[in-house]
Amino acid sequence: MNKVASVIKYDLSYFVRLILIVYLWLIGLLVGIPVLLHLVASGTEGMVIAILNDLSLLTTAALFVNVALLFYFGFLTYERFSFLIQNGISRRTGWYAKVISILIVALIGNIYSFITGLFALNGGSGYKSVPYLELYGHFFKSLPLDLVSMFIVNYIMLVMLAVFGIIAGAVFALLTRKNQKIVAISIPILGILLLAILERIVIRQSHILDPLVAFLKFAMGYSKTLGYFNPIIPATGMVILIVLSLIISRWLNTLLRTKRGE
Amino acid sequence: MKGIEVKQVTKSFDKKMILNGIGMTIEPNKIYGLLGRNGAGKSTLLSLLVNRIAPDTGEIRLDNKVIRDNDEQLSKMFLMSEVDLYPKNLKVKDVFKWTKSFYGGFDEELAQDLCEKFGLQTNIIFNKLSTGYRTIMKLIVALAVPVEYVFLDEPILGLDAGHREIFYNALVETYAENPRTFVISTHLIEEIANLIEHVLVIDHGRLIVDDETEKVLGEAYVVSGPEDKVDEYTQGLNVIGSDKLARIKASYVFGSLDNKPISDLINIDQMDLQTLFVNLTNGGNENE
Amino acid sequence: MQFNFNSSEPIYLQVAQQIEDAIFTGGFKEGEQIPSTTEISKEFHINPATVLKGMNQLVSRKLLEKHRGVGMFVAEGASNQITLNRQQNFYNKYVIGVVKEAVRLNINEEDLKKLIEQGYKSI
Repeated sequence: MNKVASVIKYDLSYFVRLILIVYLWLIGLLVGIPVLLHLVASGTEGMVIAILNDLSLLTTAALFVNVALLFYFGFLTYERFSFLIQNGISRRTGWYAKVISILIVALIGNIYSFITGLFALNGGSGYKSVPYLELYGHFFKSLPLDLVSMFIVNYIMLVMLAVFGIIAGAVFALLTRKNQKIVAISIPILGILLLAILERIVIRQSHILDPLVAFLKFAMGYSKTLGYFNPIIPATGMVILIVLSLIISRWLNTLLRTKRGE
Repeated sequence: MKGIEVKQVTKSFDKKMILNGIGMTIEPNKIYGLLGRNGAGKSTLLSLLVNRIAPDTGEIRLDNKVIRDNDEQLSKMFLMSEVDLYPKNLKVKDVFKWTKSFYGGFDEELAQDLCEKFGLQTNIIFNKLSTGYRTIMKLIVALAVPVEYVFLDEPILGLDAGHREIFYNALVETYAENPRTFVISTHLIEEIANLIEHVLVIDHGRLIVDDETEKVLGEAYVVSGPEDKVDEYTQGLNVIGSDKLARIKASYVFGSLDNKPISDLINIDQMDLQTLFVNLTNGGNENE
Repeated sequence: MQFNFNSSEPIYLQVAQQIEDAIFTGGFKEGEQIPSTTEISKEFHINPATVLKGMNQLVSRKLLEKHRGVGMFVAEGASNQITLNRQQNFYNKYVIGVVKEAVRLNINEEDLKKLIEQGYKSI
């Protein structure tokens, strides 16, 4: 247990450093540079409003950045594994600590999303201003219950993304360096190709995708009889996916090994 | 049983057999020398001992417990390897800090003392150190970490004579103060020959020598003199190599001399570890 | 103490030999403490167990005495005992070799005696 705590401490300190660096860049890009441009273009006039606008953009961007960081945090595997095994920490403990670290980090990210959600709800046009509530806000018919379900379902979603990150990272770490390069180059290309194909299908004969759309709607909890989305269905589905993914990730974790020569 | 037991371990990489049925035990509080030519499988064996990689077949136990995925056993061992497994942006002092956290202890006094002796600055990022200083940092960690088994794979890589001297002194001192097992794999055999109690020689993935240094050297002879006399004497003995200059020949014998009568014209001397090793592992150079 | 190690004998015997030499030549006086195993092993990069084995050999020959918790001391009468020992071994260790070499060089008994007399005079 002691070792697990040490590794969690290491993970969290790593993540804090990562987040600080990313946010410094983000603030520089989304606030610093626009403010500078504003200064050059129109002096200090309207400066406060411009900064407020930039900050609101930042709070929205942060939602996506948090998700990406969480995935990346799950993805990081080899350097961490090799440092841990160098220090007599088993794969099992490394994996266990990572799952707990991710639950903690996802919780923090989720609290942030929740608070921005509350602000949006307060200042905007009701449930329509929060994507979750727009979709699932008809189910409980009670604001406190809707908010609790929003918190829980979002949390489950964040954890699922991070666990997907763990799997992707573990698979990547198991590849040889050469194959890692091939994958790193081909995945974006394949992604673009896929998008292009999808676009063509949608333009020409959109009904090919109908079953897919129907499945997605089902997975997201849409019920024809009710006429609205039920959050319990996707939550259950995601929990099952998380459990399955964790089992797979633990299996992948046992296969990790240090590479020869560097 | 206290100690490490390696049982029938094999390991291949890319279908190439690196270790072929290794069986041995490593006892507490002894200094071992692990010798072998490049590519013989030394580093692979050491990596297996600390579960960095897993054997294809066979198993490894420490104090009767399988080491695989076992924190308790793994934290009794430390492998200082040629490969650097430290995160790229970690400072030396942070490597010390996390090592202490993970192993649950670290002899900071010793580490600081050695940093001063070697002239290693702890504020520098590990990746920015020269090869020699990386080795030095890894050595300091290896000596300061509270484990029962320390494996040193090429511990003097990139060290000059002065730094090697500091290392050997520190090694003997820490061993005398706090006896534990060291397994040292090195190319500079002469420098550790008097330090190692037990010799392990790996050749082409097999363990060909596994015995006390004294016993091994007690059975290693150089028979020299006129070629015909030497050949006559060494007939039927285990000759592992020979050198010749004109008609004077030196044959290297590993094993008993069978109490043969010795002619006045030949000389029999004891062989040193370096010579023994070179002759034992001479057969069929692998192109590495 | 100056150790010169070679590879022709087990190290522990050489350690014993060197300490014995130091006692014989007065480097270590009777009743004096000799350096610890750690000091010797550090100085010459010899395994402490090997050094101890060498010392124990001298202990069993009553040249050294172990004082628990303190260290090793040169025993009283050690120097005399070494002299006695070496006198006993002198014939096997030196005389036989000299005579064998003399025979190989066609030096007869008379000549060898003369050479020995000459040697005594030159010292």
